[in-house]
This record gives sequence, structure tokens and C-alpha cells, in this order.
Amino acid sequence: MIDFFTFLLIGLTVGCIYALIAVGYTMVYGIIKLINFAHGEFYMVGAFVGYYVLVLGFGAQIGGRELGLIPLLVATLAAGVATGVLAVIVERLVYRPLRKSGRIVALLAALGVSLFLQNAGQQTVGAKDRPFPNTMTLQRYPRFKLVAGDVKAGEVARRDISVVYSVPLEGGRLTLVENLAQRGNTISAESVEKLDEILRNAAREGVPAAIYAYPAVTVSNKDGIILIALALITLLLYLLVQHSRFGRAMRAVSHDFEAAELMGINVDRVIAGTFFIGAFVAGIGGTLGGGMYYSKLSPLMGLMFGLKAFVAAVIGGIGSIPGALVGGLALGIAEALVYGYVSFLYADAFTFGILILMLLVKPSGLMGKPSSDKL
Amino acid sequence: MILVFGFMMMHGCGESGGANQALIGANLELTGSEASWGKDSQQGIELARDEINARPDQKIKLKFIFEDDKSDPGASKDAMKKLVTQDGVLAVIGAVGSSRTIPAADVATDEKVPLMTHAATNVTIVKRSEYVSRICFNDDVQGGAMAHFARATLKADSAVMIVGNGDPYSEGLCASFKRVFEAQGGKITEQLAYQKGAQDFKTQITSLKQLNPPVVWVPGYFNQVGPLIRQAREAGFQAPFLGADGWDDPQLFTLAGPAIKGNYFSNHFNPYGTDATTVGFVKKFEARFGTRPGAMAALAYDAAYAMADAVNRAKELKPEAIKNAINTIKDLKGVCGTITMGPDREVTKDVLILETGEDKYLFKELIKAADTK
Repeated sequence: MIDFFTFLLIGLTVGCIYALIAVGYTMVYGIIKLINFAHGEFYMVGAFVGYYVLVLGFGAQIGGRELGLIPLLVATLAAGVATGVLAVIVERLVYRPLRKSGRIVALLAALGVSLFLQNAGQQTVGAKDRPFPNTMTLQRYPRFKLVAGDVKAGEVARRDISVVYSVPLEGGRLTLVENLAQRGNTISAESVEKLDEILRNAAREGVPAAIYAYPAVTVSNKDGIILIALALITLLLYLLVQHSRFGRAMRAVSHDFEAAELMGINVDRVIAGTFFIGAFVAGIGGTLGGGMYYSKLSPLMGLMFGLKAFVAAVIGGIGSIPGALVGGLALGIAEALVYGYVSFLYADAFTFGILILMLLVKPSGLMGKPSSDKL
Repeated sequence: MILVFGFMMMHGCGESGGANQALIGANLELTGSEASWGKDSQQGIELARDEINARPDQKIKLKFIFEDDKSDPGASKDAMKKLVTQDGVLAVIGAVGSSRTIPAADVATDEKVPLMTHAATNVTIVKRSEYVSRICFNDDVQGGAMAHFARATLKADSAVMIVGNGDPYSEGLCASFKRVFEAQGGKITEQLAYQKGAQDFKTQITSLKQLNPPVVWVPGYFNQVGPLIRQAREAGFQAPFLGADGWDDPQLFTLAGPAIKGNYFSNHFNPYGTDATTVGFVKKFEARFGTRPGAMAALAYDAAYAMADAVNRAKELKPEAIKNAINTIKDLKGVCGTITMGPDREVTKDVLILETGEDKYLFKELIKAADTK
């Protein structure tokens, strides 16, 4: 049962990242019936913009001080805006001239844009994996404070025990978590010695240090940030689409492209705006998901995530924004449960199996409107 | 690329390079996910090449053509074919990764041109034919050494293995670790897996915490092992991870962060070693390239010297004669130990066990080749 909740939480966070990408797929499809296969690359670009904002703008160093929430927020928003602008440029240069050329042509162009961005990335920033700057140390909650006397050598630990302390660094500090014992292991004399040393040093330097015990199921601060980000974006999208002038125009274009044009709606601007919003959300997903959460950046990082998010959008019903959110979360959780209970090796096969099954059985998805021609 | 091209322009693409020049290929991971190893190897070869060609008694000069296998098995086969059939090289050094060396070894066998790998450790590689040889220890030796280390030094009675799915390097090492660990009285409680390119190891770590083993054997590459160790420590899992030479890259420290401290891996070379040979090599390398050499650079350096030795002793400058000379190399001193080719075209070397410190490797112990069985 403990496992089940742990896997569920992992799936929920990964599902949020899928959902952030799936939103853009579904919005663009909803409005011009284009599967924008370059969308995964927007996620990648977002991660790199966030990276460079932190490195160049905030002087982040690998293994350096932790930057905290404000720089992360700035980087995330900058990533969203930059990615959004990139999407508008791509739309203007590639998709708009091809809008009358048929959907297969546009689809092929999207694949081209995807490959172009991957290779341009490898040329400019290199193919190596790189870690994301240290914005915050991963901390797990809930946790219970212990005192030094509670950790005794020779006893079996009933919970995971760690000591959290910080060391001052130039221009800030670095929080460190030292694991002392794992639930079920005997606490070693070495661990107690290490604990004493850390506490002594912390007292001498005048920095905070605390010992914590963790229950079996915990949520991290990074999980929390991603969950909150998705909730906020969901709320904003709802307000935008349902309660704004632009949203009404979007719905009109989606409903009937030509009629909307005849009614005086500036269709080009609505489409550009849709691309901006979709890529904005994907860029945020890139910085928070690929950057802060996974801390592993490479120009090819958008490939698999883009495909998975596409599956999520299809599951939810492509064209439907609530569908993309539900589809993303459902796919993330289902994958985590397959990882946990079946095998890690079958997770990708499972994901794409779902795609095929969904297209065969219910091509309109969980929340999409039935229609006669998809893709 | 530009360098290689310029090189060819200057010298022309003559058949094997003429009477007093030997044309040697190098098939390396110059781009792609393991590019840092290929680059390291190229620098090792370049350093050795210039030293060898500057020796007054070196009558036959060595000329190298570097080809990129893009860290990809298919591209490795193409690169090898190009070297052998178009450039007409006498012999080839490479590749680093086993998955790239296996297709190259097949081409070497078909085309009857010797391939000397400086760093690929999968056991099957040199068994392909007499045209394939190796100057480092193989996975049987290094997996066995780590199993012996886990039993004898860390006193672990059980272990969990994490295999990189579909990667012959990782699979071979898991097989040899398991064999020796069980022969020495240990028990493998579970084998977990991950896929190439995976970034998220939280589910494997959940299983690890549940299984609670005293050590974890994860013979993967640095670019996945780094994040795995970081995520494991973040989740509160504290047993040491053990690995092999695939860990050896400075990126391991940046990808894992402070979590890297206190884990162990087997290696060919310790760039932080204090003996005279190591210090001398590191100094020369740093003076020329501005970075500290990794094990791949050291092995490639040794391989270039081994190739020079074979070229000098060969009866004629033909692939067949070079092959015979390679297979009879004896007592050649290198920075990664002495090279004596056995009848199975393998060398016998002791295995270096390194502990990962915060930002460098610390010498832990030397496991004798005899203890790895």
C-alpha cells in the first residue's frame, strides 16, 4: 500500500509535466487542426532559456549556492515568454504560409521544425547532458523533528532519518541533506559520529541544523511547485478561454474558421495568440519539469516528452483543454503504476499501446467531441 | 572534422601512406551521448602520436585518421567500413563503448584488418576473430573485481543489480558480478532495470528502499548513473552504489552533485594518482589540452604506443602482418599498466578500485587479477 501511494505521487508529478505540454498540442489542434510535432521542442527550448537566465542573469554555478524561489520564478516566466515568442515566429514563418496547403503538408512541416530545433540545439549548446542550476535542495514532507539523543547507534531505525543543515557560500547558502539511516536499517556508530560532527560544526558556524524522521510516503517541495504551477495554469486558462474576449474569439475560430473570419475576427492574430499560449505553458513545463525536477538538459530532451504528451492529448480527446489536463495526469499515473508493479521495461510499450487502443476504440478521447475525421 | 579534412588535404589520401608512413584509423565517439570519452581518446592518441613521431629512431611515422561513430552502433559500422575500404588503413583503434565496438569488430573480421580496442570491455568482443584485440581488462575481470570488493572489503552479504536494458556493456557486467558474488557466498536479491535515455529513476529507487540492500551494483554510464545516485540520495536511500569504468567522467560530479560522495567503481587509471608515471602523463596532457585526462585518454595513449610497437615489429606494412605483431606484443609499459597480449588477445592487469570523493576520485584498493575469478 505504501508503494501504491509512492507510485501514485510520482505519477501525479510526471503527469503534471505531460499535461503542461499536452495543453499546447490540444489548443493548436483545436484551432487549426494541426498536430504540431515541434511542440516537444518548445519544452526543450523552455528548459534551456530557464537555464541561461539562471546562469547568466543570476550567476548560478553548478554545485554553487541555492538560488531560491524568486530567481526560479523569473526564469520560469522568462522561459514561457521566450518560448511563446519562438512559437509565434515559427507559426509566422512556417505554418501560416502553408495554412492553405493541406493538413499533411503542415504535419510534415511540423516534423521538419522539430528536427530543425533538435539539431540547431545540438549545434549551439552541444549534445552533452547538463544539470540544471541548484534552485533549491529537495526536501521531503511531512517530517518530524528529532533531537540528537533520539539517534542511538545499534537501534533499528523506524523511519528514514536525515540531518538537514546549511553551509554559507559566497552570496548565499547551500542546504545539504545527509542521510543517516534508512527505515529498517540498524543505525551505525558511524552515522551517529557523522551526526555529532555536523551538529558541532553547525553550532560553531552558527548555521541552522535539524534532524528529521520521515514517514514512508512523502511529497517533496519540487513536486509541490509543479502541482501548484499546473493548478494555477489550469485556472488561468479557464478564465482566458471562458471569460475573455480573446477566449471567445478562439472558441469561435475553433468552431468555424471561415465564419469567424467573416464576423470580423482577426484569425491570424488568434492563431498566433494560441501558439503563444501553448508554447508559453510548454516553456514553463520545460524549466520546471526538465530543469528543476529532472535537472538533466539536452537538445533531445523534448522528443520523448513531446510524444508522451501527444499521447496524453489523444487520451484526453485532442482539441479539448480539460481533456489534455486529465489525459496528462492519467498517463503519468498509469505509467508509474506500470513501472512499479509490472516492469520499467514495459512502460513505453504500454504508453504507445494505449495510443493505439484509444485510436481504435474511442478516437475522440475521454473528453473530446466525436467527429468523423481525425488526423 | 576540419582538422581531419585539413590533414587529408595536406598529405593526400595515399594507399596506407607509403613506405615510411603507417596509416592507422581511430573509430571513436566524437559526438553523441558519450562524446566526452571519444574526445578524451582522440587527445590521448594525438599526444602519443606526436611523441612517437618525434622519436629519432622511429623510422615509420604514424598517421591517424579519426572517424566519428556518433555514439551509435550503426554509425560505428559505417565509420569502420569507411576507414578500411576508402582510406585503406592498416589497423584501427577503438571504439570506447562495447555497443559500438561489436559492429566494428564484425567489419574488422570480414575485411581482415586488425581492430585494437583500448576501452571496450564486453567479453565477447575479442572472441570474434584473431583480428580483434584489447589492451584493457574485460568485464569478467572488472565485474569480478567489484564483486570481490563488495564481499571482502564492504562485507556485503547481498546486493541488488540495476541493469541498463539492451546495453551489452551493462548486461555483461551484471552477469560477471553475479557469478563471482554468488561464488564468494553473496546473494543477488533482485535485478532492476532502466532504459537508455531515462531520466527518472524514482520507481527503481522506491523498489531499492523496499529491498534495502547493503550495496547496489549499477554498471551503467555516467550520464545515467549520475542522476540515479542523486535521486536515490534525495529519497533517503543511503547504501553505497558500485559501478565500473563507465562511471569515469567529470560529468559524474556535476550530474550527481554532493550525492556522489562515498560510492565505488573499478577503473583502468586514476588521474589523481601520485606515482611518477601517472603524474608525468597527467602533466604532459594538461600542458597540451588544459584538462585532466580521464581513463579513456590514458588507455588511448597506451593503445597508440602499442600500435607503434606493432608497426615497428611487423614484417611488412600490411594488415595481416600488423595483426600478427599486435597479437604478440610483450612487456610494453604503459600509463595503465604493462601490456602483454595473451593467446586469447586479452591482457592481464590488476583492477583499480576508486572511491568517489566530493570532486575527485580517491584510491581505495588494487584488486589482483587472480581474485576476480
